[in-house]
Amino acid sequence: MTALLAAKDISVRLGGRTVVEDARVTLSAGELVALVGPNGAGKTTFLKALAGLLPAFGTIELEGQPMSALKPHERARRLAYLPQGHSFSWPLPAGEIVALGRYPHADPFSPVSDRDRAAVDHALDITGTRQFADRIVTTLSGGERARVALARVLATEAKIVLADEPIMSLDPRHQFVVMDVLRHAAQAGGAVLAVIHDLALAARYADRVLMLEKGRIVADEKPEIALSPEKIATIFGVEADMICLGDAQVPLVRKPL
Amino acid sequence: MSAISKSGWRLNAALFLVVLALMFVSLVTGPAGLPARAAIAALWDGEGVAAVIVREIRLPRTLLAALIGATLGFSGAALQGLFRNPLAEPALFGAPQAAAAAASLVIAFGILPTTSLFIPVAGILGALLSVGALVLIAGPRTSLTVILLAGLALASFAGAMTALILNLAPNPFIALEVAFWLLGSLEDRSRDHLMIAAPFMVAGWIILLANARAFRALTLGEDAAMSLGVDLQRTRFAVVLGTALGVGAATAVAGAIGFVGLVAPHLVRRYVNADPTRIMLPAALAGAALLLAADIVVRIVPSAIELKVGVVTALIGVPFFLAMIFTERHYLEGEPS
Repeated sequence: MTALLAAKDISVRLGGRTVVEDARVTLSAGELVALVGPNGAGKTTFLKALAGLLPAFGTIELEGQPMSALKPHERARRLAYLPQGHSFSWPLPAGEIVALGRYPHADPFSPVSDRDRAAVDHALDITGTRQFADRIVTTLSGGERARVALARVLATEAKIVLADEPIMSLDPRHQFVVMDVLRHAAQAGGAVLAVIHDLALAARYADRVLMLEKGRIVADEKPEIALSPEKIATIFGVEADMICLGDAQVPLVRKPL
Repeated sequence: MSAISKSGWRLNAALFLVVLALMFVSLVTGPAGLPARAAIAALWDGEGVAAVIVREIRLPRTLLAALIGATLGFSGAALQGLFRNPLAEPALFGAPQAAAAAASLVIAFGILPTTSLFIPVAGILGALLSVGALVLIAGPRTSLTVILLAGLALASFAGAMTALILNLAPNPFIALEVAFWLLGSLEDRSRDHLMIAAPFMVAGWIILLANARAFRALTLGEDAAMSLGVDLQRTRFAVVLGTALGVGAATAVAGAIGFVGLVAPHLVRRYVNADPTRIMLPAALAGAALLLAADIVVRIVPSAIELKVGVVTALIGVPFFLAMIFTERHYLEGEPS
């Protein structure tokens, strides 16, 4: 079976500096992959390059087709990108923000289709955002806005989801809500690559961990191998213990080295 | 979603009726003192003085006011959508300034009356020249900041050229002529002015409307919009071109008319839920209404020399705008921290 996304030899140069070098990643259907790494490792740049938002060297294939051969809206139907921050320029109602996920599907001359409506409804339901769909998005709390932004991404119905810090600024409960939604999206036949700073959550949710350091991929393994205390010490410069949580081995960060 | 589009339809219909009413008032207003009934009748039939006044003087003036106002409204709304900023306005890229400079050059050194048709032609050429220069300077792949700065430089250059032309004008009367023309007016514009400028304005509208859908996606920021399939380079180019064509042509026939492009979108923003795409048509209709109203005011206010419409839009516009900022804070303020 062809991978949903296969990227090889990805290098990105920004302002004369190589930010990502020879990175590769393969995302198959059903996978939730965590992208971890210290600040400045190039995670966001790598994600943007995979989303086709930055000029990059290397090859990216979506379901076996070169991404460069796809028209922007064709690409957008297969791959959704959730940027960091969740800021909105205009005070639109949250439901309209979610409906923007249908942008790549829309024919400018036809009204909203039933499928569009169903996709938006589904996205509102699984992210728990329906209750404030009518509220102005700029008046929502940070956590609510993060979920609205996630709902927008899911409304695209793209199989591949690239999410940059989807749980940033969320309270503990909503961190789980969002991670569950992402895992659900993967289990429904999609593939999710998410930048996550919380190593414990990455270990618990991810099928695989991709570790980036100084623009290079230094691990692409199962969480228990990629997030070993030794690896965490070398890459992040912190001391971690492994603790058992249910059937998962989860790193608990203790102190800086 | 359907409820909103229904109210959007109602808003557009209401604004359209306002524009029609103002066009009617504009047609029956003027120093000739024609009765309203006679003025309207003269539109369709009859010869003689009334027909000439209404068809050759008032009708072109009325249509130009509506078209120019709509162009300014469309352009202001489009630029605010592109820049994701409610302060953007049509003069940002220097197109109206370049049109004004080119037109001033023709007035000052072409020794032509201010109603000559060479003036709008020169103005449109000036606007196109400035867009060409902007595209050349900014290059194909560039950030909005670079486009903005290049536009600012071009606008300043065009402003300096206009000042130079005023400075070197062969005699003070011509300098005064240029200065008055620059204030913006629809007085004595003919059917030919309309015919020259209208195609460019309508072309500008079509270009802007064809790209309006992207503005709503841009609410999410440029990266997210691109990830949704917005071709950002093409959208930017189209908006700059559409604005330059429309506003360039508008400035070329009527001189500089400030404020309408900035204010019109703000007038209607709250009625479209701040949607930067749906705001386009209401903003254009509001722009048309504003300019028609201002042009009626200049003909009603008694004064020895007719007031310039650009002066009126600025004079009435500023306090009005300030009041609106005050009441519309909710829609203008960014995110609560």
